[in-house]
Amino acid sequence: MFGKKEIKVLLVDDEVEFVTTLAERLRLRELNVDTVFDGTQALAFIAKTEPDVIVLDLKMPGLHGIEVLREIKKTRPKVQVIILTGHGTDQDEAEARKLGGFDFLRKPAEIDLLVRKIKEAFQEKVERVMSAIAFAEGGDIDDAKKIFNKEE
Amino acid sequence: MQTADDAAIELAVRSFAAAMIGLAAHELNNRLAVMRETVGLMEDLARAGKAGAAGTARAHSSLDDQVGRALNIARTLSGLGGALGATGGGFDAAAAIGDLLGLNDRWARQHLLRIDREIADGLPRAGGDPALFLCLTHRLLVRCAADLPRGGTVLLRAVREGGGIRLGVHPAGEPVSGAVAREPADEEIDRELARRLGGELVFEGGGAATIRLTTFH
Repeated sequence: MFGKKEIKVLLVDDEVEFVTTLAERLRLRELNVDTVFDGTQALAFIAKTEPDVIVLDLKMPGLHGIEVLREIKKTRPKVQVIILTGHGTDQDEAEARKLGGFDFLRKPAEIDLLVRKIKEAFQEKVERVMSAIAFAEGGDIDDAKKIFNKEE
Repeated sequence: MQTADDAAIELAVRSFAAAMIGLAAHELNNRLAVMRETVGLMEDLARAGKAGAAGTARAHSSLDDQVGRALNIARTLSGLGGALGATGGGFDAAAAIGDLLGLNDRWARQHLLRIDREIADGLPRAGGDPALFLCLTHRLLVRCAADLPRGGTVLLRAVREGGGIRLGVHPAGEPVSGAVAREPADEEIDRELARRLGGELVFEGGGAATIRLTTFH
């Protein structure tokens, strides 16, 4: 089993006070949290390092969260993305799930629910990576890739 | 010449009202989300025995700020409600623009737009239905945003002109040619909104436009 401190979380939201306060609450729950304030910063962040779970707002200056999610899944398919938005539509939710978003929560979310979702997302990522490794070791590279990229 | 009919105008005003309610709801929701996290953090720190006087003072200050911002949204919404329900008496164009920009602050930031205003002192009350004025001004801002997909600035300049008021909408930035195809029917709705205000609208290329309003008698 993994310790919570090993879960690297990136919070992406243009509401600075919201994101810094939420980050502090998650750190008190022993998660390893970084914050950025728009989609461009998020993409720059993941170009350098790979968080396990990204908690992503939708309506931000410049890039919309859905575009950021699309780009994350292209460049870092292992990263789990939880949408946390104050004003997402049903269409946004359907699109986010289609693009591989792990879950779609509405602000303000209960902290215990958010922590549970982050842990579930991390757990699923770990299991997927381990499955992919097992298939790859068995010589089934195509299936390994599919599992890795969540195409199954 | 084609003119926008009553149904098209009604739809435009309803769409505008829906957009403003959506923006206000989003903004209020964000204020409440910050308040909930701030209170939650105070509880977390108290439970962990880490609550200090400085942190508590900071949290109180943040809560006070959020309440103030939420109250501003409520006041602006109230002004918008008044405009949508107005039945005559003219309106204060400067105040209407202030309310509109207050509600559109987040929208503008999302589109990387800075909206500046230069409103001459002592403008007379404008004649016509304020809901039509707000709807038209909002549509012109949306038009500017479409013309400036990489962001920029929009200057709203209102001055007294002859017996009326002239409101100029002046975008500045890097337009993307043909980024958004302009529907003649949309432009006709804009012109008809101005006509029903008792004024006129002139498009000036790009997203720029001038609305001429009559004063209230």
